[in-house]
Amino acid sequence: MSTAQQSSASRNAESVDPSPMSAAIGLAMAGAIGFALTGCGSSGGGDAPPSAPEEPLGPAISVQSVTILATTDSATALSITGTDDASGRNASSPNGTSHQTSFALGSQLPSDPGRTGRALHLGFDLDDGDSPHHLDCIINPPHDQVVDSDPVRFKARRHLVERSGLGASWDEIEAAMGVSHAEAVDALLAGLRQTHHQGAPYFLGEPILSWRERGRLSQQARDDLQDNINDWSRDLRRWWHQEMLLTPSPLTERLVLFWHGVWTSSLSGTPYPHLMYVQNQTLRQWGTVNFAELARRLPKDPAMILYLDSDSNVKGRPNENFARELLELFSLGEGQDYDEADIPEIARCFTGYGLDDHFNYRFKTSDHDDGEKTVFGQTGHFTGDDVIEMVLAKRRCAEYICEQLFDEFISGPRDNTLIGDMTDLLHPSYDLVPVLRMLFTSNAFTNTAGYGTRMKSPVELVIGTFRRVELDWSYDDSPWTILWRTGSCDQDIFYPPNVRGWPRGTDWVDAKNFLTRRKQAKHLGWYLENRLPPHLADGLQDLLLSINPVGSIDTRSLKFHYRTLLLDPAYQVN
Amino acid sequence: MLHDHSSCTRRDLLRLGAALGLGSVAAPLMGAPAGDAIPGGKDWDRSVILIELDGGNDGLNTIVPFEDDQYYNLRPRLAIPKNDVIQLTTTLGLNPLLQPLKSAWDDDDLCIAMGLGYSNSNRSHFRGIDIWNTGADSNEFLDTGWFGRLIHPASPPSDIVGDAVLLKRYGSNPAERSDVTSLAMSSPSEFVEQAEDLTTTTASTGKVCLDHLLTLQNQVANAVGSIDTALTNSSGVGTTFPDTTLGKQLHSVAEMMVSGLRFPLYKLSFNGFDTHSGQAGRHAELMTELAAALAAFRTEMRSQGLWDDVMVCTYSEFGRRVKENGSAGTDHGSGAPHLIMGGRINGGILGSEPDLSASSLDANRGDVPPTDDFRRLYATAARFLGFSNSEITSAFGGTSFSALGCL
Repeated sequence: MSTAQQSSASRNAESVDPSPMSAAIGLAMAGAIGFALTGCGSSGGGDAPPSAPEEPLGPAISVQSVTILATTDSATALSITGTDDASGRNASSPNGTSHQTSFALGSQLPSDPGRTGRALHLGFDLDDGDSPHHLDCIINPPHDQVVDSDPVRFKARRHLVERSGLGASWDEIEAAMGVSHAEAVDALLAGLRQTHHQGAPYFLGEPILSWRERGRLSQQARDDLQDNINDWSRDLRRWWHQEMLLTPSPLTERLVLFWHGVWTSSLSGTPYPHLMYVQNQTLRQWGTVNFAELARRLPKDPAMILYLDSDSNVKGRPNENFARELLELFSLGEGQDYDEADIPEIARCFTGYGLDDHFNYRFKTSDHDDGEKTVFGQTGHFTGDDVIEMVLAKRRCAEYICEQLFDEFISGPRDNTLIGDMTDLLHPSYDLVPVLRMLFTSNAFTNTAGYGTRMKSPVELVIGTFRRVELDWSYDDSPWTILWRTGSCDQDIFYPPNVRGWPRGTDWVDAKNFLTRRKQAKHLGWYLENRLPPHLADGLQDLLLSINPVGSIDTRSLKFHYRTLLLDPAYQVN
Repeated sequence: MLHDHSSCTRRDLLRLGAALGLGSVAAPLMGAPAGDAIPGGKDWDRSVILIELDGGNDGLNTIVPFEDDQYYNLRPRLAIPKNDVIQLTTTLGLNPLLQPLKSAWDDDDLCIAMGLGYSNSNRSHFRGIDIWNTGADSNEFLDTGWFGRLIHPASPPSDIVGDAVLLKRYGSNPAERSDVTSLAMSSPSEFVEQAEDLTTTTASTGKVCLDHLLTLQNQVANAVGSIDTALTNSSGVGTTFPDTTLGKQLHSVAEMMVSGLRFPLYKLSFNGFDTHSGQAGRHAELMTELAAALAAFRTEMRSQGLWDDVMVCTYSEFGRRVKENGSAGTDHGSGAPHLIMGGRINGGILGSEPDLSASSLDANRGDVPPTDDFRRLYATAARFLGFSNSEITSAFGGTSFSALGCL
């Protein structure tokens, strides 16, 4: 029977053993892989400006040797063969009963363009005579050495991942390290998803009853249904948090959250959470692709219709709620390129945009005011659909969306030249990907002076922390506590504070939120400090902070190091 | 004298006076002729409590013009029947759900200022509340709050550990101004619990967001010790407050007032007033909550001998349209009445009755026109705190607004 040997060298290595035969053959491997690194920092150079066609690749990380410790009680010799999957180089140890085998993998692994990251993927075949056994190993070089190999590039890539996503994890940064900035941006955009990564919420199959049908239920059944709806509403929020935690495309979820904050609706006032799920999916489907398509759909979105009273906006008795916010908050900006007199006229255009008894969109001809309206100086028998096209035709609409994107992803004083260029690109197609590419490759975005100048939203603060430290959240109740954590900092997803949506910048934080954000950072420190993957110990500050800490950082232990980094005010910004 | 035994401030003297049964030491303030600096200057023992009715409160269903046929014609589903109205004058009365405030009216402690607002409204919630909080004209964009500009040059004594307390905050606030300390909190006890290990910092980064955090850190760290001491030594609040959004906020104000802490301004926020549809039920809940919380606060302040030290007033970004809409609700409007309460407030109704005539509605886009500038409410609050007219004029950029006639 073989037993594994632990080695102190294992802290930077992870072993993945996919073989179901491991137990059968009675051979276990420790992740006892020692390695040495040379050549760090040999050829990195500065971060090239985004306009450069080709950036030099980062320096190579070389592995000179790998040591495997294994014991076996088999009588026959233990044979170990190692392969670097990327390079195809082989190395083997002499057969023998020696339980420690060290073998060379070649003097240096080049920075191979085919590699996606810096980690080495190695395979070992072990044979103790009974049964062959394969062991896959991933060797992560110490993080601080990766940072030191090219600190400028590291910070630039981290900035991109952090600002475009939900907390930059080591793997995400490392993947971006191997490619140019433009390529890294392209990879982010190519990864955008029009649907969620996980399955749909479990309750979607539950039928939606009309108010009349609910009224016919017994009191007990009505109460039970309301209890269920309350649970589903909570679980819808957990579901989105889970999506944010697990998604391979955090930029997708950032955009969904962005649109949720621009074209707001709320769970409060929706009879069934199904409706907010449908809207959330519409935001994902079109908010990652084309704004015009989104703007055409949301006026007919049931949750939106309920949130802004469109269902009761009827001929002869218009309700201005949606019309006003459409212009003021969703497409043009307060008083921009419209008059107050347009509001009641646009409300008339949208009369009849209602719901059937089961909360599906229905255009109610009898409620629609088909008379002449004057909108933006034009007169005609316009419908709401016509209004959306008239709004989209305005360059100001594209400019407004670009301003919002700038504020979301860059923040600080607006760069009107950049916003103008983005607007030219967005109007009139409203395709979002080229505009996002321009934004993420702009000097305003990449400028190192911008690092650490943007306030994290509570979602980025809390969910970002889980992602930054690669916590395996499936083993705890974090999706539930995340609701409390983000809500206490005033970002309760699906419940925006008002129709203007989430704050940005310094507006996120007053004295109360300064304290609750700090409290959450402290709690996350306590909560995560015993769950931290040890391999994050090196370079932890480079991973967690965008700029130098304000206070002193305690490096006596991983626990204190982690705790003091999270509590530092610099952790609140990115 | 619950804290800071080493120095005897004016506030301590006032409280001592009250304790010895000398009556109101500040009584001369009452007689101060408008236009003069108030004798003795600012009274740091006093607090203004501003309650934001977030969303735009429907003034017509708060203070009801029960003799106006137009009101009933234009609001077939929403108008409050004349017989239900708590009649205060021959034409105006309280929403029946404000019954808990009737005793304040009877005691001459409740003033209603009619038709407050500003002209040329664009009816935006956000622009509206920004105008109210900054004290700007409708075509003027200010980035400081009216109270921030008022308090900033005033240099309060050292035992005033903050210029304002914000018990709920969305967006702008009237105390906005760098170097003015506005302490946002959910409650003073939570504030102390979360801040007790906080220390001040001398760090500065030159980055706006980070420096914002460091400023807050210093403001909180500087205040927390005094708040903690005062709360620890306080006899506590004796009245049971309703367990509602506003009830909790006013309970927090009472806790601080009773503990001897003083902040010149408390700003509270109570939301849900954007009643575009199904207004009747929702507005009834809001009125009920408002009245119950205010009544509890008044009871507590009176029993603690603090009612003369406070001026409570409501404000809101706008009133609502006179004609009800198709959803049995009301859309964004303009002028509206607001409540002013306190032991030193002279009760009554000030200003004009809402003009609901067809010609007025035509001329005012269907709204109740503002008949008094909303900044007169602030001038009243500032006078209550002892600011001179010239200080008030200065806070409003040179424009003079006179206090309402309730002081």
